Amino acid sequence: MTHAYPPIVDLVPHRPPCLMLESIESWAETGLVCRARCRHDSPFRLGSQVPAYVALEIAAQAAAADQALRLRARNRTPAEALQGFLVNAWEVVLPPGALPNDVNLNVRVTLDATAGPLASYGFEVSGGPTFAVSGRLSAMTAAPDRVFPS
Amino acid sequence: MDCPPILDGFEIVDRVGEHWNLRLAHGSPRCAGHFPQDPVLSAVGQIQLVDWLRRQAHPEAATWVALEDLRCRRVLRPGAEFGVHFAEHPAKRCTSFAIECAQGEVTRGRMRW
Repeated sequence: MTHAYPPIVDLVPHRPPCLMLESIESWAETGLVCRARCRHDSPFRLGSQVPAYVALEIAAQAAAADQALRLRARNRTPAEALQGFLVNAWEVVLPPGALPNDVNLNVRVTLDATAGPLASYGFEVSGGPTFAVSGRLSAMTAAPDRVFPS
Repeated sequence: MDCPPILDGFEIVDRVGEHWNLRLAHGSPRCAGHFPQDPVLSAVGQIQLVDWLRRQAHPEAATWVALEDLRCRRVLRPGAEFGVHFAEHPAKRCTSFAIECAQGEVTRGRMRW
């Protein structure tokens, strides 16, 4: 049975051209699998290429979508009222090449731990014949003044 | 002041060696869609800026192969002035960087090459 998930724009505060998530493939308490694409008008482009570390932004957007689905499952604060912020990242392994242009990317974020609005994930972003990035991140979904001091 | 052209979306305030003082321009394309109601520069946008500055200073620098550590403490909004400092550590094959604004540290990180 195919599950109907909300549109991405109902889950995350990002919008084009920054928004790179395209669709959710599956979601469970353990994490989220989705599709993403870096388009030609991406603000993350440097010259003609998109550096591989931009996969971290894709993973952070997937983490924000996962947190929004988690909140919806508990009938908590609507995600559209909140913003998602990367708090830290580590052990992010990058391939030698750039992130492929306009190619379907497979994204998986796996929940490691959560405490209130803060959650830690392992992640993988892959696509094309050889591109693969993996690592760990923590992200917080909240109003910005509650995440960082001004 | 001897400065190369800066990455679009940023304005140079000052530069001393590998310490740059910059301003995030109002309407910066680097914040487009992040987020429409309250634009901020993403952490990856900050890494991208460091990458660009590093390549201006060291055109032959090796490509990064890992992000070892990234810590975000504040947000940068359009109009904000901030300092960027980075250093290459050949013995450890890594680049360390820090971004600071008047209120304190924004982001700190270490990339391996």
